[in-house]
Order: sequence, then C-alpha cells, then structure tokens
Amino acid sequence: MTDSPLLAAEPRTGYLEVDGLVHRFGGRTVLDEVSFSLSRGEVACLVGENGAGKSTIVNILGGVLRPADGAIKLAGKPVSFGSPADALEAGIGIVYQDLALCDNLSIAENIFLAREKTNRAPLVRALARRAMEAEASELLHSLTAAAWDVQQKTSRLSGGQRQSVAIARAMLLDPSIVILDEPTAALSVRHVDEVHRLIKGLASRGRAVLLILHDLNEVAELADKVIALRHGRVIGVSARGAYTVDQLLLAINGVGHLPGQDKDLPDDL
Amino acid sequence: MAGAANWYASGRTAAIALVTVLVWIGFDLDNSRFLSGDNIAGLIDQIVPVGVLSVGMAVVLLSGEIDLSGAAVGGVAATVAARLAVGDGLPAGLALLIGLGCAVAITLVEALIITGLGVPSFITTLGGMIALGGVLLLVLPSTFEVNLAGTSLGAINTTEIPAWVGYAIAAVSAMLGSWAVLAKHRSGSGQPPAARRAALALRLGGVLVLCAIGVVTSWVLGGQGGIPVPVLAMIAIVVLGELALRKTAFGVHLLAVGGSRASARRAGLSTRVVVCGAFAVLGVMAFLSGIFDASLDLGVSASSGPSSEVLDAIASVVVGGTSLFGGAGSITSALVGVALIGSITNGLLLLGVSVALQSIVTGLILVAAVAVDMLLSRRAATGQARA
Repeated sequence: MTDSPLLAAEPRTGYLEVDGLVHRFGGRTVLDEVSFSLSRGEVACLVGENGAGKSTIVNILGGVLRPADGAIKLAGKPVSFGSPADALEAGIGIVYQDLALCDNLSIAENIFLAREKTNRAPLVRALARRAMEAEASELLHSLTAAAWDVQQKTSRLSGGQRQSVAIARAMLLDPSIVILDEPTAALSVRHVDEVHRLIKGLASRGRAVLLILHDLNEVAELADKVIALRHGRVIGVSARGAYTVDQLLLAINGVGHLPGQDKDLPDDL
Repeated sequence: MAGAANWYASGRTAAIALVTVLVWIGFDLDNSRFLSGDNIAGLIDQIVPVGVLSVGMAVVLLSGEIDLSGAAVGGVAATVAARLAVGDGLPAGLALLIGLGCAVAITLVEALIITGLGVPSFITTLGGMIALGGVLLLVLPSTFEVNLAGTSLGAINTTEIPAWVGYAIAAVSAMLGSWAVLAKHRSGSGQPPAARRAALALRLGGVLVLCAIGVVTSWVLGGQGGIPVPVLAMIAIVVLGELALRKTAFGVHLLAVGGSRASARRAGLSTRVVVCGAFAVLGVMAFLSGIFDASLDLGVSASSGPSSEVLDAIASVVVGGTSLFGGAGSITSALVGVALIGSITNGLLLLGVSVALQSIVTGLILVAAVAVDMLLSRRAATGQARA
C-alpha cells in the first residue's frame, strides 16, 4: 500500500501490488487508475457490475492484455508481462471464466500444455505421456477425491469436471498467486463447496488468492477483503466484517457507499 | 467440438484408405491396365510431389492456418537449386541446401507476416503465390528453362532402392504401429469396453491396411526395377511426421493452437512460435516437392510449381481426414488423400474420360469431403452442447 520500508517488511503487506492501472479499449477507458494490494494468505475479491473492469484486471495480471499505464509489483519487484507465459513464469496461476481449455486435447494434455514432460532421449525429446498422465490423475484426485480417466478429451466432460481440470492446470506450477474468475458460476452445490474448500486451503497455505464473484453472499463468506469496482475505478476497499452485503450491493450499483469509502468520489462516475 | 471431430477424422482416414482400394478394384475391373505394374509405378511417381507438399499442408492446416503458396515456393526453390547446380556448377548438395534455405526463408517470412501483422494466412500466401510466380521468371535463365537430363538432380527420381527395403519398412511399421495401438488400448480406461474394442479394431485395422498397402506397393515397384528414392522419402516423411505429431510437444502444441488459439495462448504457449514452426515444416516439404517435381520432369521451367498442385494438396489433406478448421487430423491423411485423388485422376485417364470431366470429378470430391467435415464438426459441437 505504501512505499515505507518498515511496512514492506511486515508479513501481511502487499505481496501483489497493483498501482494506477489504466486500460483503454478503442478510446473508451475501461480501467482508470486502479490500485489495490494482495497479501500472502489473503483472499481478496473483486466485485462490480458487468463492465466494471474485473475481467480486464484478470487479463492484465495474466499477461493477456498490456495496460496502457500503471505498475504491477510482485514481492516488491516491478514486473511486466509481455505474454501469458511471462505471468505463469512469475507465479500467477489463473482459472479463466471460460476455463481456457483446448477441447481437442485430453485432460492430461491440457494440464501439461506448454510445460510437457519429455523423455531424455539422445536425439528426439519424446513426450513422457505416462508420467504426465500419472501426475495429472494424482493432482485431480487430490483436488476432487474422485478417479479420473485423464486420456479423455475435455470436450466430453461436464461443467464441474472441466472446472476441476482448469483448476488443476493452474495448480500444477504451484503458483504463489491464484486468480479465479467466476469459479463457481456453473457449478452444482457439491462442487461449489469443493471449490470453497480449495480456496480456503490455498490461503491457509500462504497463497494469495484473488477472486471474481457475482454472488455477494459468497463474497462475504470467502473474502478477507473486497475491492469494489465501478466504471473501471476502485470505489472502495473493505475488510471482512466491516461491511454488509446490502451496503456492498448498493455501492457497486452507485447508490451508496462502503464503510470507509472515499466520500469525495462522485456517485455517478 | 474438436475432440469428437478428431475421432471422426481418424475414422475417416481409415475409411478413405478403404475407398481407395475399392476405387482401384473398380478401375481394374473396367480396364485391366489399371493395376498393371507400370501403371501403378507411374501413378506413384506422379503423386509423390503433391504427396510431400500435402504433408506440409497438413501441418499448416492442423495449426489452424492455410497455405496457397507451397507449390510456388517449391518451384522457385527447385529452380534456384537447379540453376546453381547445372548453370553455375556448384556441387549438387550445396545447391540443394541453398534451395532449401530459400524455401524455408520464404515460408518463414509469410509466417511472420501472418503472426506479426495479423494478415490472414489465406491472403498472405495468396499474395505469396502470385509474387513467387514473378520471382520464378526472375530466377530462371533467359531461356526460361533448366534441363536436368543427365544431371544428379535429374537422377533423383530414377535412383531405385531394392524392394526388400520396402518390405522391411512395412514390417517394422506394422510391428511398431500395432505395439503403439495396443499400448494405448491397455493404458486407456473409463470408456465402455465395447467402444474401446471398436477403437482398437479400427486403429489396428488402419495400421495393418496401411502396411499391407506398403508391401503391395514395394512388390509392384520391385517388379519395375525398384522403389524410386522420392517414393521412399515420402513414406519416411509420413511415418516420421505422424510420430512427431503424436509423440512430441510440438505435435500437441500444433493441435492446441489449431484447436483453440486463445486457450493455447493463455496456457502459456507462444502461438507465433508454433505457427512459424508449421510454416518452416511447410517450407521444407515445398522444397522437397519442388525438387521431386523437377526430377520427374527432368527440368524446371516457367510452369514449375503450378497453383493446381497446391490446391490438389489442400484437397488431398482434407479428403484424407484433416479438418480445414484446424486442430484435428493427421499426417497420414495427406498420403491417403493423395492416393485417392491420384488414383481417380489416373483411372479416369485410363478410361479415356476427358480432362474436363476429370477436373469436375476431383472438384466434386473435394466439396463432398468438406461438406462431410462441416456436418461432422457441427454434430460433434452440438453433441458437446448436450453433454
């Protein structure tokens, strides 16, 4: 949050710091000076109406989009992502809203896409399919407590299964920051509980978790901190218990304020 | 969508191989010259240049792009090599290497325009094809032809390998192929046993039919003096290409980029590198195709690298079972499609059917194959929506 060296040494200060992010689509400003921070072990939630800029933030943190302006710091070091590969390399794992699976590939191929294991052969590096399939099964089993045929194409899976595959892929590199864009929107109640447990587990193991959720009751249950967006601006940041769901709903619709929200901001941005 | 489509695609490759055999029998019943040794040998000689180009085309189509310039690239590269070797007296090996370099450089420039500037591959390679037609006239000598009769480049097509090499390759391929299919069958689980048995039978049958064709071909060509080097090269390219597609990371990346580019990119793949890789493979194949063409015709001229050849290559790959929309198909599809289209053209010729009707039939087969492709991918897509 600040540049103070004293604060930076604190374990709970920002591990991911986003400072003054600006993005435009064809002359329209979709992100306007967005700043927030995220600590290790913290679950933060981006909330806002459709078009508030949530997915744009995810795409910038994932290296899909390059911001017009602003800075991103990881563990105090400035980073810039030229491609999704850069963001993965930096330890940011993302489960995109559309899951970003290649449906003509198998589950194992999807999980290991762009980081395949190969046999050490003298001339040609052949895929170590068996090793990848074993690891993919194990990873999925640890996430879902179910048995998986990882040679299946992902096109044959249900919505919940596809979600699990996308999460497993994000977990494969053991990222320090995990971003989940609408991870429960398409899920049954049982799968929602599974994802909630996973999110809490990640935070308790010191990962920084950034969520995008529509269901504000779910937000209140999971988030240590909410970051409310409206028209591409952060209109308020509030800690767990410091707001009510009704206050949050009114704030993101521009008809109220979050406790602690900067009252100088015009209501209708 | 492409998951199920891929299954249809491999099933279709096997089906087209079977249709080819039926076409052979049909033509032979009508005109017993069709399956004579010299006709089959001639037919195989004729399809090799398009067959090799089709392998490059298959790779480009799998990556979700298309190419129209491959034949023109091959014509220019072969002309460069022929001029250097025959006109300037360079050692043939060096001349070939320079020709190869030209071909790969041209296709890489196309790939960089496609990926860097975002110009669709259809337009980029259409422009490339037109421009290379002009380049060909520039690199040809003032007589507009280089005669390769009696040169080492001309001898490529007449150099023949004994038939037993063909038998050996077919036997080894049959063993390796069956072993791979059985290993896949054993390690698979989850699907119903009936479906797994059907898949096993289909794949095993496909491998054995292809190897049987290899044995018969070797026997026929053996009776004609041996297997020409280009034929053996084409077989080796198809086998190695199929292995590379299934067994290397590049193969998976190719399918990923062709199947869902946005997803592949967000998984961390550089789609630019993959597309450039596909076009580099195309460059190598276009070069070989051009050289084999030049060797077959014993020369290069202003008519080298005709656009009809690149269209034949697209038709062959798609008829053989590779999706025109990327991400589903095989390298073998190139060989199977070329064999079918080449056989039909040759058979119609033997029956005394006019050139006009030959073109009409080939065109209709292509449209029918793409229509089937559309129907199957749509069915696969709605199947997924229901799931």
